[in-house]
Amino acid sequence: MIILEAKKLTKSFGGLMAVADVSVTVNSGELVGLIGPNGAGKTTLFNMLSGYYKPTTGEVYFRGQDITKLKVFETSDLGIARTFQIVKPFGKMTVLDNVMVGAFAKTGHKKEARDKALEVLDFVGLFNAKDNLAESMTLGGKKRIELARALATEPELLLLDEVVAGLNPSEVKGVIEIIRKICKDKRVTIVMVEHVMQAIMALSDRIIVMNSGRKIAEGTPEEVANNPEVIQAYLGRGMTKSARG
Amino acid sequence: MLRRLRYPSYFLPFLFLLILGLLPFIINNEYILQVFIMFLFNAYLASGWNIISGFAGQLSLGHAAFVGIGAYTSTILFVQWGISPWIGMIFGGVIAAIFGWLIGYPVFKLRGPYYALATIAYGEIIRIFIQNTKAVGPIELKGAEGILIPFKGSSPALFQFETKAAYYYVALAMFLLVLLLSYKIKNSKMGYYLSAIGNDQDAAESLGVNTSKMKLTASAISAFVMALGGTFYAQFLLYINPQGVLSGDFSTEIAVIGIIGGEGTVFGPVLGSLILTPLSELTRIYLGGRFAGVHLLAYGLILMAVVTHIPHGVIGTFSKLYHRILLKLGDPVVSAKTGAGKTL
Repeated sequence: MIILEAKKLTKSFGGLMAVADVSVTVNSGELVGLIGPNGAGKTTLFNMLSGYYKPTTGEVYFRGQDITKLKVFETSDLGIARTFQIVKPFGKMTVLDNVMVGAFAKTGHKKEARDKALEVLDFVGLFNAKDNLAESMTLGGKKRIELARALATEPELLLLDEVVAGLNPSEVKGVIEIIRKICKDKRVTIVMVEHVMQAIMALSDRIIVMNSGRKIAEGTPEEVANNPEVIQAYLGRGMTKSARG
Repeated sequence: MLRRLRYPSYFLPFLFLLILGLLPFIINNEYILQVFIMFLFNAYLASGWNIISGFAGQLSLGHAAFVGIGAYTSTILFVQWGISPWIGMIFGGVIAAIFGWLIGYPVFKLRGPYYALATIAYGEIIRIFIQNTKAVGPIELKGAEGILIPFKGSSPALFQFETKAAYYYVALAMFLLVLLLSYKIKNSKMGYYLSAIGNDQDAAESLGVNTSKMKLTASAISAFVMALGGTFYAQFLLYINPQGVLSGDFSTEIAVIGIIGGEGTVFGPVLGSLILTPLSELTRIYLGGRFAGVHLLAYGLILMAVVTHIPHGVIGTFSKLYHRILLKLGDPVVSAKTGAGKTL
């Protein structure tokens, strides 16, 4: 079943065409990776999918409903959650309170929100840090807070924007494990933008590759890794032959 | 409940309340009682301001506008049409709330310092308008000259009392109600959402928070609270004028009390008032006549000291101290969950 469908999305900033005519389909339960070199338009596409940018042309459908013009909090009510590439924790609130804000999406009662938040904190491995101020956490901790907050809204679709970027290798492993569990155990559909290939290759069912604002390839991790256009986009023209050979 | 009063964490607040409740019987000096009334009144106003500026982090420097709307509404209804200020108070509150909601529409599109600047602007616009307007249709604003409220002797139904003690109890009741309101908001979904907005609006939106609606609602509630304070002010002094109740200085004082106490906390504004009200009274007595405005200078210096040394207000320091006292007294409730200190 198709959960998210983007049709012919285009976004231009002034004269610059950041995303040109890109269509994306995401099936329920899938984990889709979105990669591409710097400036490829990943984040712009991602921001259109999550409702932060309105596309210049094109539409986005969530479970068949046109969400192109909805406000961000309205898409959240429908069941879409996201994290931010540059983390945006509620710095002056405790880790627990951060996650409770997410949990209030589904309840009006403080106690229920608290229980839900504690459960999610346990899931992402932040239970013992629950009383710390969010601003005092390491980057890895802040990324986990973002994950936990988004998860606490009980989304059907989770959009992850470079959630492992900037983490050390052991933190990367930990977060990869959490994302795998979110997708496989909690049955949440995930679209993730990522630069860290280790993460994207290990997790994705399907990968979409972008370059210069266009979609240049789509397929399983193996297919994409062997696609000459992708290799060219990442390594340049001269490398294509040797990489294939 | 009664058995729990053995515990310091229960009997200390109870003791504090008891003292506040019996104060007019303890203090015979009218002037000192007046200072206590001003303490309660300032704490009340700063708590109202705190709902939008503390909880939601939208620094308002124009809140005197709402106090003024409340004061003028109930006063005009009373002086011109003989409607009891108790009823006028509610009218003023509703008008201020509507005004707070409407003004929020354009103003909340601004963020950070631009929002604060806009609040100064609308505060000033209202002051200048009333200062220069004698009447609007049948409504007599009386411009800069202000409105005198006739004293009808002791008549509680008309919000007029002969003793300071009676005003004290009205102020105390309003003070306790606004604390209850703050506490309820702080510990509800709305409180968490406002706090999220104050920290990061984009992240709040992504979690399903309708940030504009939340801010407008908080602004309306805050304006309502301020306006009720305005009616109290008018009935207590029996005179209102734009330079007093609508001035930018007044707006600033309200905000400074909240900031120094600790914005975004329930008891911060109370502490702020506890420190600044006596200070302001003292500077007014000793410096007021010859050096008008010097008390604002003192405010400014204290504000600078607080912002540089204790940016989260005195509430943090006080909280720790209070916690330590409870532990010293051997409170079993607090000792049982040491570390997980309750946020005041």
